[in-house]
Amino acid sequence: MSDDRPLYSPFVDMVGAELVEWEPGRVRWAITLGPQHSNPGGVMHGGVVATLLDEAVANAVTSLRGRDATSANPHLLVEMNVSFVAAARPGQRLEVEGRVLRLGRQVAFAEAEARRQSDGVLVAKGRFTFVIPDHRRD
Amino acid sequence: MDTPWPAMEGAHSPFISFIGGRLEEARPGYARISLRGVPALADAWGRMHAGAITAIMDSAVGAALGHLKVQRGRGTAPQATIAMDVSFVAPAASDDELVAEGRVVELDRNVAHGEAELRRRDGSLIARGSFVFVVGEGGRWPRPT
Repeated sequence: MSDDRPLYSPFVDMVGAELVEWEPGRVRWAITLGPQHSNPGGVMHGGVVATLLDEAVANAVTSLRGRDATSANPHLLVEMNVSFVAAARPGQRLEVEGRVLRLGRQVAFAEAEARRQSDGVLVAKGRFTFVIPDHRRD
Repeated sequence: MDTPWPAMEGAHSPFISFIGGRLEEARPGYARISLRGVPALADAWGRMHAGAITAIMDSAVGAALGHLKVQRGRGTAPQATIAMDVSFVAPAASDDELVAEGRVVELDRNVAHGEAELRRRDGSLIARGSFVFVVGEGGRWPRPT
C-alpha cells in the first residue's frame, strides 16, 4: 500500500505530521501539536498549519497528475491565502484535508481546511493556486 | 483566552527556532528573520517548503508588530495572525539562505496590517505577502460580545 502514497515533503516529517488518508484529488494529514509548534504567545504558530494546508493540496494535485508527470514537471505554488479562524494549543490534535477544485493544463486550484479533532472546530482555511510550467517551451 | 505577549526584546518563538530561523533585527514596525536552508526543510522536489517560507514571513511581521506595540505602551496586548496572502514569485532551493523582512503598515486599536518580503541572501525576490493581525487591548483579548 505504501507505493501509492502521494509524494510528500521531508519538511512535514520534520514538523511531525502523519499522512492519514489519500485518494485522487483529496489528501488528509493529522498532527498532534507539541511545544515546538508554538509562537511566542504559546499557541500554535500559523506556519505549522500553513505547512500542512499547503502539503495536503500539493499532494492532492500530485494524486491527480500522477507521480511520473509530476516528477517530470512539478507544479509550482504561486499564491496562497489562509484565514486563521481559531487558535490551537500544544496537546491538541489537528486534522487537515486538501482538495483539488480544478486541475487544468497549466493551472490547478485547490482548497484546504484544518479542524481540531476533539470538537471539529475549524482552525484554518486556505485557497491555493499552482502553476504547471510548460517545460516544452523552455 | 488571556495570552500575554512576552516582553518583546528577544521574544522566543519556539517554531521559528525549531526550523532554524534566527531573528536578526527587530525594532518598532520592522523585523528581519533569516533561515539557513537544510534538506529537512524541503518539499517533495527539493525546493524550500512554502510552509517554512510563510512561517518566517509571518513571524517577521509579528516581531515588527510586537516592538511597535511596546513603543506605543501596548507591550502586553496579545496579537494573532488572522489572515495571510502570499505570492510566490520564484522557487527557492531547500539549501538557500533566505531573509524575511516584515513591516507594519498600520496598527490601530484592534487590527494591524503588515507586509513581508522574502529574498535570497543575494537579494533576489522569492515571495511577498500581506498579513493581518488582531490585537487585544491591555493584556487581554476583547470580551466576546
